Amino acid sequence: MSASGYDVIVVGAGHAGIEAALAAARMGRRTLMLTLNLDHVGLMSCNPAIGGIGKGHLVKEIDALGGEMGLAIDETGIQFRRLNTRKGPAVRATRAQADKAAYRARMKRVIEHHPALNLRQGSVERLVLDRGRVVGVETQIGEIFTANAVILTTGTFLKGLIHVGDRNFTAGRAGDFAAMGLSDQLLSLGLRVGRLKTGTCPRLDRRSIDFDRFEVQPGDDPAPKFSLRSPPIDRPQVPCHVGRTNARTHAAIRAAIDRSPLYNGTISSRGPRYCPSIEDKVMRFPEKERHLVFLEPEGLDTVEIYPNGLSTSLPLDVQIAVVRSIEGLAEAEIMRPGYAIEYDYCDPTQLAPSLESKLVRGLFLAGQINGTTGYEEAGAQGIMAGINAALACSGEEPIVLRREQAYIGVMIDDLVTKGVGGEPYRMFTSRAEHRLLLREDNADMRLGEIGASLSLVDAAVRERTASKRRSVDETLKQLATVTVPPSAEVLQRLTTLGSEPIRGSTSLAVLLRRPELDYRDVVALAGLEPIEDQDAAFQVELAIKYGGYIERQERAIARSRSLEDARLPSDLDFEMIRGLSMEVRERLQSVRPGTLAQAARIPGVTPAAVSLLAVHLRRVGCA
Amino acid sequence: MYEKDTIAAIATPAGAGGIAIVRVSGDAVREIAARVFRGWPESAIESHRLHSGRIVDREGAIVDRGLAVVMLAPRSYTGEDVLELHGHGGTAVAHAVLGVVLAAGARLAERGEFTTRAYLNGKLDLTQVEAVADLVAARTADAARVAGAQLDGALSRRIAILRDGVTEVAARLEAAIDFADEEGTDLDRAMVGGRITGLLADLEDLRGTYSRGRLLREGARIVVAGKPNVGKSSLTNRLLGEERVIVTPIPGTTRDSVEEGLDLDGIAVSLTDTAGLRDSADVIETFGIERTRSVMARADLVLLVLDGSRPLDDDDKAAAAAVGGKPTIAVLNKIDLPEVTTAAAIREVLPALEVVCTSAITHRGIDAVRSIIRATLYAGTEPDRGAVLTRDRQRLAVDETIVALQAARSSVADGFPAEIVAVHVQVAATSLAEIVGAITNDEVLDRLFREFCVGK
Repeated sequence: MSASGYDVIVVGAGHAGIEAALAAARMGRRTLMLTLNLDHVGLMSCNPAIGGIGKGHLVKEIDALGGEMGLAIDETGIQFRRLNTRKGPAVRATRAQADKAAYRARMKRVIEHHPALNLRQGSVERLVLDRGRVVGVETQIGEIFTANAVILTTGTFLKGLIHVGDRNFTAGRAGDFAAMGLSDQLLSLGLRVGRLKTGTCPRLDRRSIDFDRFEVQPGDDPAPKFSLRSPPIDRPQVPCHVGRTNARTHAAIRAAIDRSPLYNGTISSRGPRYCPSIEDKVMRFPEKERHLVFLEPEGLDTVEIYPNGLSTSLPLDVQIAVVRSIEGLAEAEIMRPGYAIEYDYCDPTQLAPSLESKLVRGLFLAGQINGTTGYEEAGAQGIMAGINAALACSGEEPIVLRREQAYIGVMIDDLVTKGVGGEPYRMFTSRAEHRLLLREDNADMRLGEIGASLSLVDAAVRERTASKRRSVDETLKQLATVTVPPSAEVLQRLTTLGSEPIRGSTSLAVLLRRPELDYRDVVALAGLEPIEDQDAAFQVELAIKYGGYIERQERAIARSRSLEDARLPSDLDFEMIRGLSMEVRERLQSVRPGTLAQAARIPGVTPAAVSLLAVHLRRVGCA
Repeated sequence: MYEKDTIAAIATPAGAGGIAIVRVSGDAVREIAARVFRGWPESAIESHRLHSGRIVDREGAIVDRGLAVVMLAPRSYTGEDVLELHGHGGTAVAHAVLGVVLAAGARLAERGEFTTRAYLNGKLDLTQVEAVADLVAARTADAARVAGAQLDGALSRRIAILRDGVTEVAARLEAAIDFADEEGTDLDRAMVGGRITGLLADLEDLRGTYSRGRLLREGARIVVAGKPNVGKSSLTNRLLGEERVIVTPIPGTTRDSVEEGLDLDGIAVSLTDTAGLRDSADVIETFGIERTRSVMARADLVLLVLDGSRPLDDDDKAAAAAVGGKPTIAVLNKIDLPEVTTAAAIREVLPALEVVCTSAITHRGIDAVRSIIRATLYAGTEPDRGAVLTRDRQRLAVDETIVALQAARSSVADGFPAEIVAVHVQVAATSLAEIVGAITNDEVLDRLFREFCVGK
């Protein structure tokens, strides 16, 4: 029917699709966003929260690159907390409860109002191809849209199949149609399509809950925010509540376990181990007598409550029994049942690190279609796919973040080299070997310049980051050069601060390494004024106090650094490398790693095989 | 699809022998087996079963009669299909058998290539590959026993247990970091500290096996030293059990160092007889004496030979001084002659040395020398109970692991946050993994999900 030309088409309006479409549009590309249901732009299908450990890191990185997620949650969040505050700065993380409806409305507004971005309802059934390249999409009703690049962010919608007890039906999520055609076409194009499983909790009616039986979990005051660009958050916050399952809950689950599709063989794919259903927790850890349940409000304007920890696909009568066995939930009414969902994903090892398919030029994949889970993981891939699709339109080199540069780099590298290994991939800080470097507090310093160079971050933010960087550098120089003498006055002050006396003239940097002294203490010793920028002062303190550990961590990583740098020629024929086993050769041929280090991270590629590759590279003069 | 090439070599030593074995490994083994051997059962080649028959060339002419066995992957040394042809042990016939195998499509294996393939196919880890080399090179039964245990995976298993322990500690730390919001994931510092202490004790124990492992793998250098004409060469001959070194009554007969190997109760010993130490104007003798000093510098043990039939003199004392700080046994020789210098007198002058009295002529005391040598070399080494570190590479990695875990333990005790402790544990894991293979973060996550019920 119509044949309008776009630069970039984004299929899907979830968390990956939003970041992808906005990044492309903000980079000046004519962008079309197609979604099955215009009322569900930015819908949170599962828990009403953004951030968390590892995930908060991703949100701050998205924000530093000029993405939307941080701004949206800062504006629509109803409770904000910092996690891991008793641990070191690298693993402290921000988490917020969202008002789902407000979050969705805000995201839709931003999408609708961007001048380069069109939002249309439509179910994409087919990619339009020309000589191995994607050139557009066709919808269920025969509309064809053309574009230079297409980004698929289809979430759980590809052949989605919902299970509740022994009942199942096709759906993209509860209440939405599934997309049935697309994955067959992807399969025919050579993409390896697999099945994954995830699940969600039943939703409860707030009015049927006895909150007095729960511990109150308030937000932090002041509320920590995600975005550099948000104003301080000073609106009132709502609490969450914490309760526990008990012996009756577990007995109810055990009695009905053969009616669980996870346990009676209906669902064979493994669910995520870090986000197990309550039946999984009870069956796999029989020695645990109780499990936590967090009551999280779905929003301010709704009575729905999300009982985090009770994800389940048991039949509804069992769900009711399980819920009501919990103290304080004896009268609870389930408004929506919990369910498990199986869906198609595409093996991400068939993607380049730009998230472009290695098989179909111009086709980018982001989010759950790549086998990940989580809004933040999706958004992070979305922004990179959007950026790289936009760059591809003008024939520019893609941006690939390195593992020591960003959690985004860690995640995408994991995905394209290792794949997801049968369960949805979620970010953990333990996946990042450079963990001490990749902090929420320095996401702007790590990525702000990239965001600015792509015009995704405005001049004011860019200047703020640059000036912070200057203050940090200048202050570090000052601390290294300014010394204090062991004068009576200095010694007296040190004693007051509970610190050992110094013997000779000592630099402020050396003093700051002492755990009991902070930045303000040491500048005061020298009679200097501290810098005003609190963030910069914090960075300075970390650079000095954390420095030794960062060095040690980097040394350990450097052992593999020479590997990281050895590039494998893109036309390298792994078949020709003598001594590699058939299995290893097949793995290498299918993943086609870009560097020796990527090769080493591929499951099944042994250290011995890596050394053979290294020998081969030396022989042909590549490394 | 590209086929892995097939390699072949004569596996038995060169020269005439009872049997010569030609070993073949690779994808073309079945095909080669069918072509070069007549005697397989009608139905199909049966894995791991010896068959007798004829080894034939391309024209079907007989080359040798013998036995053949096919070991199908992965149940073979290399992890690939393997063929062994057991023929008669003559140089010409063995090469003829190899020739027909090569003509049938194999190529000549490079040095160590069978073992390399075993490593690449995951049949052996790095310590086991080292053990193969050690087993072949072993000069004594004890050395062979240690190498054999290592090949059998004794060290691999010990390292696997240690890695498991380190992974468990890492998983606890990661649970405390990534699932801080949940119950049961708090960092129990006392418990983690205790686990690390346990690992350190095991590592120290393993570290302690190195002195013995090294002794058994590398053997020991023993130098026989002393002033001229005290009977060094006679003593050397007695210890070797043969008249290897020329002995005369003329002082300074041995002008150069003479080195010979011997199996001293399980230890591969290289015994070096040296020129007597004294001030000499003779140019050749002076060279010899210089040589003696440099040989002594590399020795693990010195036998300082003294003449019991003569009084101790300045040359003896100079020889004793030349030994320096090396472990030394004083051998008071010539006790068949009238006693002039007693063991007690030597103990007075050289109180640090153990003294043993011998007669190289009557063989008295020679067994005592052997047992004191053995006791001295074994002093401070732990009796081995299977896993033994035999190489400096392994010891260094264990040392690094110990240092990293000590740092981890103090950081746990001093209240450092989990992610700092984790840096040390990661270093420990990497060092340990270098002994056998590689550790990945995935192992830690797998462990974490197995042991903790996490996820809201």
